[in-house]
Amino acid sequence: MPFQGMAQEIPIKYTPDDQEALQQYLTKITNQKIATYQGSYRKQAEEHWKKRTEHFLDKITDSVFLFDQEITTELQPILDEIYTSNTEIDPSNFRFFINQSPVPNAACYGNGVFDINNGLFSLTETDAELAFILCHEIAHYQLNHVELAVEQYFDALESKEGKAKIKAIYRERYGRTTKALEFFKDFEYAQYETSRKAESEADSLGLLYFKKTKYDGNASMKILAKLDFEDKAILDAPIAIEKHLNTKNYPFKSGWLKKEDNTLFDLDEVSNDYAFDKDSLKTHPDIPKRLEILKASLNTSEISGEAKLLSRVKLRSQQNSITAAMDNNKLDVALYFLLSFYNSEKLDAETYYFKTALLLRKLYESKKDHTLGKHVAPISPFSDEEQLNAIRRFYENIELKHLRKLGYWFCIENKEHFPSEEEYNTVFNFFKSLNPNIQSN
Amino acid sequence: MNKFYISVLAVCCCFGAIAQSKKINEITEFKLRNSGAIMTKENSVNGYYFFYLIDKLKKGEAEYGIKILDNNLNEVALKKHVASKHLYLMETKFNNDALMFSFIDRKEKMIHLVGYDNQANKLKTEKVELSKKELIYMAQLNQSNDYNMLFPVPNGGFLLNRIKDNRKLGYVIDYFPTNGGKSWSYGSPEESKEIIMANPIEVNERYMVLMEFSRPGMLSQKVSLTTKVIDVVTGKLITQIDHDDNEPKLITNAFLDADDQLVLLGEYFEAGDKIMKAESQGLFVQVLNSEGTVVKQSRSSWKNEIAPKLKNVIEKENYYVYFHDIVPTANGHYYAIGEKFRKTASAGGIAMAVLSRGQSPVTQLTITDALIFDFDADFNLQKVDLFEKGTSRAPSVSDFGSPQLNAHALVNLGGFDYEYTQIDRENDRFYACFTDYERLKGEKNKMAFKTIIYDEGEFSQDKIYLDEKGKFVRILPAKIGNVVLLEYDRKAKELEIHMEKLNIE
Repeated sequence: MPFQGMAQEIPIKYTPDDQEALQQYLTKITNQKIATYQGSYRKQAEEHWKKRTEHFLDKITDSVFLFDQEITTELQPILDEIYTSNTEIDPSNFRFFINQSPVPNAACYGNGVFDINNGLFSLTETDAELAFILCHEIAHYQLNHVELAVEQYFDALESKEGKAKIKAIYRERYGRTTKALEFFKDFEYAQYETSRKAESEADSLGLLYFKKTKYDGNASMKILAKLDFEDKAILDAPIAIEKHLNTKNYPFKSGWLKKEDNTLFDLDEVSNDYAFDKDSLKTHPDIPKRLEILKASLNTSEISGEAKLLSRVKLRSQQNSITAAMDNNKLDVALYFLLSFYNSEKLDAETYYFKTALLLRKLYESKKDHTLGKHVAPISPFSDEEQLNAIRRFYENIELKHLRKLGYWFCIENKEHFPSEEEYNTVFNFFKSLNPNIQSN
Repeated sequence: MNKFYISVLAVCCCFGAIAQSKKINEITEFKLRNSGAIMTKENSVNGYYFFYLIDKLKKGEAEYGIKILDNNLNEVALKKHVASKHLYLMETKFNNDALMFSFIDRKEKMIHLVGYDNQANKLKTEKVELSKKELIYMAQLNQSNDYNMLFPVPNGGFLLNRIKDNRKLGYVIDYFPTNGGKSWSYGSPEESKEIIMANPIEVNERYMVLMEFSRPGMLSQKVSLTTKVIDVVTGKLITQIDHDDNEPKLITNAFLDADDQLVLLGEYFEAGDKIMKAESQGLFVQVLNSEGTVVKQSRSSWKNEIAPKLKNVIEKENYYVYFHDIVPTANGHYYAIGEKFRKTASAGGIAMAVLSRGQSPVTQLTITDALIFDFDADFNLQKVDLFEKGTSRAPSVSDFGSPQLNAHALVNLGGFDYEYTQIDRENDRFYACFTDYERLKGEKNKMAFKTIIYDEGEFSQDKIYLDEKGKFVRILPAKIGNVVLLEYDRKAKELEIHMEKLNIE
């Protein structure tokens, strides 16, 4: 997908056009869900599902979701293919939301609401791959996995036995916290075990749905294999920051990427004496195990498919990745997307230079205001995200006195690549005012 | 293996709000005993610690949790520690190889040293018994800002500086290696007829430089000062410099330079003066080799050298300067960081302005601008830079005793606006930090955290407002050139913690 431009960029919407309709929809599905509970846990269930709805509305207020009609429209034929091939699915209560997270993931909320992370569109290469993920999430819904998890929770904590256990712990004079943590550990292990079982079930049923569609069944294995991030970074595309932020008049300094040499411990992960067993806390079976199970259900080895509908979704998602990260001041993620897309020729020069200049300005302003740390995570000693860490090191090492000069020369030397004189002046005048003593030819 | 939190293709559940969940959370909530930054001698931060009480246990014990964050605010460890329920955390230090916590068990009257190696594995706990008297004095000293109990020996071990109940009060310094080597102790003579206290002013891989103060009695103003250089590997005294009464000095800073020469900085007095009482005559620098031989010394007198150059900076005559720190830079210069103050309720008749400390009893100090004095390698004053700061007032700690003691006590009580100075030797920078109450025309006055930054031979300033837009901001020290902001939103009742770099423009 070389040189995709953003010339007709449409601003991102973080709130729906049909806010009232959305509210009505959420009220309807919440009430329907509550109505399914009879007997002992009804009160708790009502409280639980109402809180979930409130939490979801808070996420909308916090701009977690992107309301992008283009993506929704492009996704619909893939969903229609799943529904028409699997008539036992009743999609009347379904609504898919696009979460702006760059992490490739999707989720089923159990009440008809699903979300697909924007990052998933970067990872999926064909319509079939995306279709399998949608089938997997729909399978969670069809198998009532959320309800089962909620019931398990109520059985453990809200039942007579559960309450008695908690009361007994509360009355302990010595070692109360340790006993509570033990109780909590047993509960967590049981929850995660159920979750892993649910994932295997959703893989199996999802594959059944998927195999009934027109898509190649092997795409399921391909996308699942790509989702194995156990030993690799999620945002791992090369960024070549020294190359793309270098200017002739103000060359990139190696010190801007210097690693800090001051760690308290030499550890691969947090040393936590209170940590629960890691394997018992996995929500999902390991991907290789899931692949084995899928492989047994598939009989062809050929992996193929095309990105007929997805190609437009991917382009739109790429634009959204950059804009959403900039809008939310996630300047590390924004620069990662700008550099990695441009480096792999997925982004045109006009967009790259203009947006990067805007980003440098935003970086200057947030450093100046001492607010950068609110939005850009610190460098973690345990992170595999090397590309993001390189950007974070750059942000940490570059002083304001360097940044104003870099911004100035980045604009001047790349003026020809800016979309228009007006857009150039928007950014250049800012850096010019910071560098009154520089005389450029 | 930390990355974005990811659960590939999930069902989405959250249970936080349900009643029983709240109850479990309430039980499992750790109770914070104390917390702080793990500081280096350059006032940089290696990390942060949080000391929690987790559980009461039988037989007078308790379970504690020690959470450790690195200098980027990432949680790197949460360690369990079972000990007496009377445990009190004193200090935490890091020696590039191990992390050490010093505790006092008030009931058992014992110091516990609890260390962790670079894999966060617990080291053997060292215990040192104290007498009741020693415990009381150490607890009192701990209230003071200028007492340090634990000193890291880079890549070697830790020094424990404690009070010893000898014939009169004395001191012992114990060395606990964390990377091989032998432990040792060095202390004042048990039969000494004088009270002897010690303050290790500099420690590196080879030497410990100790400042020893002795006086006949608690209230005595006759203080004898001795500088001792001790081999940190063996604990043997290498050299001893007695500061005789003919050249009394108050040493405020000391460090070992790249050639292991001892550099002493401070104020000097007239022959026969008592340094706790008299006015100082000026500033000095003295460089000694490891045998204790003076290889260089220079002085700059208030009257002859410094005062004439201050006339353009300090116009009114009744101002004094209190020096907080003296920082050496790569070009061989020394920068003395001070604050201007005056005694607003003084008896009058105070003479020339530039004496470092006045002598008359006062009831209030009015503190104003920050000053940075630039001395060359021979301690000739080159220039003085003034940085405007709002006026703040602090009550005099006491109208009795020497002004030196008063000013010093005021520093310990946080009476001046000065916070700390961080020294960035790698980039040849320093950051002198102050709190400033800005009086603005046409605007509400604002509290600000102001930093004067020395970089490439020039000064610039950075400023963070501490109280605006419905937010209440507190600043914590952080790794060199950074600060941690604790931002409390009064309306939302939310606390936001983030680290920010101090800006050099």
